[in-house]
Amino acid sequence: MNVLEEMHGDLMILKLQDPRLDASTAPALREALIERIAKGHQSIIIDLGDVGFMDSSALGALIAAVKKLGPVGTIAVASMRTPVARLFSVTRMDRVFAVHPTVADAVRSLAA
Amino acid sequence: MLVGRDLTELAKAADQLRQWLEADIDEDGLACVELAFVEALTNSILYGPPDTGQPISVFVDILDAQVAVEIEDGSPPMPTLFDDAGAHRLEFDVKDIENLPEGGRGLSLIAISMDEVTFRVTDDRVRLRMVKNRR
Repeated sequence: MNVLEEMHGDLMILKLQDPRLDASTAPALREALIERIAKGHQSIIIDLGDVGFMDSSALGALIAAVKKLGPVGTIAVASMRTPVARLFSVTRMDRVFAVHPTVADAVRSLAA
Repeated sequence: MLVGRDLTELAKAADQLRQWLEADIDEDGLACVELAFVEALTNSILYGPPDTGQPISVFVDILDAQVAVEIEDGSPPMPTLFDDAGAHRLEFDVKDIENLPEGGRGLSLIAISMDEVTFRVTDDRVRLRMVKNRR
């Protein structure tokens, strides 16, 4: 799992650099997110701009992270490409994760 | 195409499918087919008969008005599970994230991504046929 990590104050921005997130990469994605939440990060923005394909297994990894975080924190997703945005829409995950068109929008929203 | 029972084969198989179909269906349709294909292939790899050592067979049929993708495998338990698949299975209580399941969406995603999903059972093989209309 190729993840680029950047801090913006208390906000952690994770840029997922794998172009495909499926059942072969979902366990590593889950681990990468859970590990950071366990270290105390409570506001995480996931930049999906490089991800052209995501399936239900990868979605499950994101759900595991949001459940681990609980109501005290926020996971936002940003820069989704059309197939990934469609997956979030049809599975209603756009009601679970804060969805933003760009990382800058997500930073502005979470920092407010 | 023959696909080995290994999740690392998914990306290669999806790339091949894209190459076969990209000239015959628009990008939105292709994205739907790719998602359904990867979900179905993942199911076969994870839950198909592991002891046979036989690869999973994939067939593509390009028709005037449709494209069809077929996955033939041993007897995965999909035909009966599909009975209840659909958009209604993706509903949940947004106030109860604690109990939101991490999995179980694959078959419903196949059902809503494709226009037609059928099975043909022959001896010890099951062939899943997924059809998408070309627009």
